[in-house]
Amino acid sequence: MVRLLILVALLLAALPGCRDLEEPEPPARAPTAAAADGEMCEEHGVLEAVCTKCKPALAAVFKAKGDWCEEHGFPESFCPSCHPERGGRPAVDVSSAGDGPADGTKVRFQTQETARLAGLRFAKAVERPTSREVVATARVVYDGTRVAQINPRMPGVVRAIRVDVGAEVRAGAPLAVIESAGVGADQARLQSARTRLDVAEADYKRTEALRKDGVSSERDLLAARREREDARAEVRSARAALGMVGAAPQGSARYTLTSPIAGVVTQRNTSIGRLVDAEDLVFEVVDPSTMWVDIDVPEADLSLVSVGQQVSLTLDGLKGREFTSTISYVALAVDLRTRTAVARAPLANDDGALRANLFGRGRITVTDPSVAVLVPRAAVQRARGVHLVFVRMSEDSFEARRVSLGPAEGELVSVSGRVKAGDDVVTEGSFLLKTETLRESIGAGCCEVD
Amino acid sequence: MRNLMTYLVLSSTILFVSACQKEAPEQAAPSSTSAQAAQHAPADAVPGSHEDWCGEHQVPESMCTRCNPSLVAAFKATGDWCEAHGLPKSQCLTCDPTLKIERPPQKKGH
Repeated sequence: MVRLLILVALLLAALPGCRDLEEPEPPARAPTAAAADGEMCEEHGVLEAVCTKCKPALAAVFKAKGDWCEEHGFPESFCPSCHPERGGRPAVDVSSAGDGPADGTKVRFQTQETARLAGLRFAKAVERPTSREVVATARVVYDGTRVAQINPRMPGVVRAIRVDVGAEVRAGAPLAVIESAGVGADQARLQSARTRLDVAEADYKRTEALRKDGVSSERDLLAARREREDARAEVRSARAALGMVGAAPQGSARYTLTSPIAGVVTQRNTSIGRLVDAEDLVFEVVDPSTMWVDIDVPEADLSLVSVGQQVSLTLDGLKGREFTSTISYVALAVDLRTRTAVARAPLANDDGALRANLFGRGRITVTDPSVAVLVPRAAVQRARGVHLVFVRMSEDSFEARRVSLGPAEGELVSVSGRVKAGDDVVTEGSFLLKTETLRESIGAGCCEVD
Repeated sequence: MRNLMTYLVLSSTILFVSACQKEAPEQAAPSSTSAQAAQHAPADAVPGSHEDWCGEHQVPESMCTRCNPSLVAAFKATGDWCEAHGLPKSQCLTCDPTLKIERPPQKKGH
């Protein structure tokens, strides 16, 4: 404590000496913080922050960049005499917003003893594999493997409707009865084929007997057999045609349209008496026990997303609920308009709460191929819009590194910038160093800590 | 309590010193350390000359935004500014590690 007081006394004693120092060429006007942010120099008619008359040191920069009007002693690009239309302002914003200390600004204590007295504490920056989330819009859709879109098996007229939208049906449950001329034709064809088969069977038996007696030739027997097999094939064909549409082999020319899966009727696009064609979608049945969530992954994040990754979903229509699943499919093509690709996750829908076209947000947990560098939160200082971490370069010197903050893990926060794993970063006392770098930015000239 | 006192003492000394340097940085530096003075150009150094050199930041002194932050506006006005690192693009070794900023050679006879 006594040493500290002596140190203060010595510095105070040195102060008058400092005050005696004079600027050799005082500028015409001392710059102010406000001047850098849009104030005009009334005397010279240019923006105060870039007034080369008030701040002659700026002239070297403009001259080095070739932006100089020798005649009037202003930057050529906004010389008030040559370009009065520009109002003495550069074309770009030169305000000091965000002008934190430069990356790499050094802070040096004059002695190691002073550094020790500052009571700085350090921690090692550490490296960890990163896991981050890709967040994208999501929408619920039907499970494409559990949707039945049902057409008439044969054109005809709807004679009866057995179910309506919303009805729960079993597999094979009747949906509608359709009377079809095609069914009648197939029934007639079956009848004809059966008769032909009867005749062919009898002819074959007779020819076979004659052959045994040596009356008929082998050729006749083969012809009779071929006719019998043709007739049998025709019968099978006609039966299959009727069986496919679910019509009886004889009688009424009507057939019953049935549901191929168990589920809920979601569409009925016909009515009694309506003529329906084979291409018409007349019913849709959906099994909602499982739904899909399609997540629109932006093009830029696609390389991070793959099958098997965990995803959590929140839906606008189901507040307070969070669903989890895994990615089962990532689309091979990017949508030309939205520049996104679909990543799909199936969701069990045991309570029926999920409905198609619900909108929400999906968070896919992805493993970033890069590793993250983490530092204690206390090591991060904010100065004029930028985040700084101070890295120890030697016992008495430190360097400010501009960083961008990433996700936090407890007391650690990931940073991107020129901080490496293993760097000694200042935790306790980093505020003191920040103060020093700001001292530089307000015009002190260097960052020596006495 | 001891740490708090240390901060107060150091902060107060820093404030005094910075106030001093703001008035006359070029003259105050030698009084604190001659090594520091050797790193910076004399006040009368001609821009673009060998003498116009900031040894601390390895750029011409007349172009050193870290020593003279008022130059920042001029670099911004000429489109030579790296927002990410707070330096002129032409001096930003983080963005362009191949960048070479060479000190002009001494004129013969010096």
